[in-house]
Amino acid sequence: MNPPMARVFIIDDDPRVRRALGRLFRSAGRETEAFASARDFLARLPYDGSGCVVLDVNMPEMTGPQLHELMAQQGIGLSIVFLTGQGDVPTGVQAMKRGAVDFLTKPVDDETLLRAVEEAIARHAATNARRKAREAVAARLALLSERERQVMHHVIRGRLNKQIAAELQIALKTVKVHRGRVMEKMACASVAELVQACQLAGVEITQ
Amino acid sequence: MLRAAVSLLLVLAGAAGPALAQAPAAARTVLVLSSERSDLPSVPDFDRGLRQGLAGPDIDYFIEYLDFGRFPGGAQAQAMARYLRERYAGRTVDVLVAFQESALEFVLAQRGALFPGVPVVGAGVERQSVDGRTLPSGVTTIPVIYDYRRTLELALRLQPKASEVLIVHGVADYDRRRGEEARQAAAGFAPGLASRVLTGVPLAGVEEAVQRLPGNAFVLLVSMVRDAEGKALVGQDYAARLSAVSPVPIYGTFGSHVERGTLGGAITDFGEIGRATATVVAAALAGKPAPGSIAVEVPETPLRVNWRALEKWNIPPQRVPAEAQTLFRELGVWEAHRDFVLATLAAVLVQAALIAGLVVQLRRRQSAEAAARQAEATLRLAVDALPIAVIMVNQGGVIVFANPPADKLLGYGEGGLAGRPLDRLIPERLRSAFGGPGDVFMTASKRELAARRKDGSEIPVEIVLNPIESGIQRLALVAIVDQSARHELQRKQQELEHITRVATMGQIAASLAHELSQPLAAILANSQAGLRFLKSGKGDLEELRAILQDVVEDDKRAGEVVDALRSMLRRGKTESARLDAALVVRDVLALLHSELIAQQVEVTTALAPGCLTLANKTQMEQVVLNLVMNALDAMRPRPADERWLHIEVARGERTVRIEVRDSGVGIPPDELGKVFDAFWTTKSSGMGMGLAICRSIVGGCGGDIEVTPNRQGPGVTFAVTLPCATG
Repeated sequence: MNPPMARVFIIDDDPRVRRALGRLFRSAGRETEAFASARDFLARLPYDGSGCVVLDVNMPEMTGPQLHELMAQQGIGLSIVFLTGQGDVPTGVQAMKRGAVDFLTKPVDDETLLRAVEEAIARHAATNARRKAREAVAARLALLSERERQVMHHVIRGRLNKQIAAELQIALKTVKVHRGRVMEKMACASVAELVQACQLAGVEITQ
Repeated sequence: MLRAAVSLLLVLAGAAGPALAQAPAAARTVLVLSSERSDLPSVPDFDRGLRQGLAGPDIDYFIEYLDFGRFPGGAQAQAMARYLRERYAGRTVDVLVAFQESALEFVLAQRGALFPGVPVVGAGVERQSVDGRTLPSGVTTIPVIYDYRRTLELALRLQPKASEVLIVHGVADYDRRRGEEARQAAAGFAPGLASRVLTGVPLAGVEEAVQRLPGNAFVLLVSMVRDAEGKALVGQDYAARLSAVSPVPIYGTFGSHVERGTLGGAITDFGEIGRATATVVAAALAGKPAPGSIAVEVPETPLRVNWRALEKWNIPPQRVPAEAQTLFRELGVWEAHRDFVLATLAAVLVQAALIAGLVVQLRRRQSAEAAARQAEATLRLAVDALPIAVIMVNQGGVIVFANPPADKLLGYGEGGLAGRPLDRLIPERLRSAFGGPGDVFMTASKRELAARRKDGSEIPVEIVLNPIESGIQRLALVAIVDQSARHELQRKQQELEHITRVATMGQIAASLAHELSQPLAAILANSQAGLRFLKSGKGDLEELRAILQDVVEDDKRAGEVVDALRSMLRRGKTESARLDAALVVRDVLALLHSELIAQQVEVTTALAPGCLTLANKTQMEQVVLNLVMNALDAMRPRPADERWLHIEVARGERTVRIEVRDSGVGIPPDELGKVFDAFWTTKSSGMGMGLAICRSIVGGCGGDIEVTPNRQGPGVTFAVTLPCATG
């Protein structure tokens, strides 16, 4: 069930806590990397695989929530589980609003922590998959010529070839050729598939 | 209650009776030759001590003042010799006492011609003038010591930052010898203490020089029998004059100087030398041969401090060593009634002496009954009317009577104390310190003790001893002042310190929870990882060993936090021990570790190793904790990247210095002087006691605390200076 690539990043300024958490995640079959500060972690990026960050709140220089904000700004999609020795409600609420998977207080039971970490990894994996699909569609969209793109826009809105020819003032036969190329380049077997791909890529569909 | 007292007086009178009758036939003659005149304070002190020690009617006591300080030279000595020869031609002198060196030298030169074969006791002579010298047979000495080293020690104890001593002495031979001793004592006495000698200057010049002294100096006033203008001076007068104008404290070895305004010193007690001389004279009168060149070792030089002078020169009273005798010390209730009590005591004393005399006379007239009634009535009136507890003790250490306040204070019913041994009132552990029943007759003095009540409970007391000289025998009047109130005050101070510590702990409770949750989290994660490894069979033995090792260490870490907490929450006892200042700082920073991170304060330290001081750990941690907490408060309004804290521990010449420097908002210049006052605060929720308590704790260790604005940038530096613990 655990995808082998998923990795747990531990960020905590306390070396003994880092070591203990590392052991715990390894005992649950996870790979880990540990960092003493937010800066060390940022220096290690980019990271391509799936995984999650187990993040301490109270740290010198850059605090956990500050790192969280920075990751959001830079589009670093790793899910975050906060682990704090000093859980105050406002910090917790803020973290959850920003999209943290959980906000746990030390000392934390292994079941709770591991469940949160698994969820975070799953969430990241899902996000990752969506992102990858979107990127693939975007790459295909980029292959279309201007005319093909115009034709595609009409197709996904449910227009008939005849209507498209009239709208674009081109021959019906030409529309058919463009339409065939669009389906080929976008690797879609049906109009339904094409609509789905465009939705994923955020192409505007409604009129 | 008074029967015992009165019968005692009667017994005394009875014992003295036959002696009085034989007196004319058996009278022995003691002649004292004093080197100096009678108005130098050492001379009457010695005279009084000697007379007290020799008390008894069968001695004819003469004293002559050679006054060689004002009449130096051989011709004067010859004139004096002629005078003495003629004056004492018709008498047999049994023992000759020469007080101080000049008189002894004179006697040694003239003894053959003036008083051949008469035993000689040289009293109060300098040790050097006797050492390595064989004195003629029949001559012995009681040396004296002028303890400049202990006086310097006292000065540095009271002024730990002093860096200069001005040694002042006159031009008489005596002055020069003392001055040389003082100079040798001061040379290299302590690193960083420069010494300078001022002599050959008239008193007015000394006054001017003293006025120019910087604040980190002090004066060692040695002796000025004669100044540079050849003017003969009296100790009390120049000591008072210099004390009046000097901006810095004056120390010295003469008790009379301290009484007239100098700060204190290791005192050469001439009364004590007189009493020691009396025992040697008594032995000589009894025909015992002189024991050699030194009869009695140098009597002790007690530390004595003038309490009013402390105030005058702004020396914190906490720095006064516990063993020092204090003059003019004022203490709450006692202070308010002091004059009244002393006056009353004096009245009782006089009355007691009168009664004793009366009893003697009446006894001679065989009317003891009348005398007893008279004595009983007068004493009952006088002592019973006293508002404080008074008991009277005889030479056997038995309480001959006690007034109702004494019975009440000590928990005995009316009349319950009379007839009991004094020992009953002194807890066993203090008996040796008290020195036994005879000790109460040594001198009129004041000391602190604990008294044991009838039910075995103890109360802190201060006692005032007054020996009553009846002329025949001695009784001691002991006034007992209950000090419970003062001890209660000390207890409240401790309570306040404790409350403040607890309040501070409350402020950082969240951080402390964090500090504890770290090791607890590590322990839990480690243990559960171990269990999982075991369950899955994946972990090897080495891994499990490492896990258990970490669990043990994290548990210890949690234990340390708990220990530190417990230490801060502890109440009461404030015993001092040698303490490493760096360790104190480290412990406090460990306690505040999470708080400092939470407040995003950058901490740097420079902690010199081996900076030891004598203090209580909890109290010192409270001081440092308080200073750091204040720094955090001061930095809160500042941007996070401009908050830094620097703590330094360094060793001075005789001090240990702890500095806490912050980049906070600072303190307005006109407020700097007030920060240590009670109730000074900038915080809406603060009590304003933190720094006041810091100062009282630091002062109690003989140290100092001060605050200065940082030279560069914002913020302030608090500096705690403590005396170095040596050895």
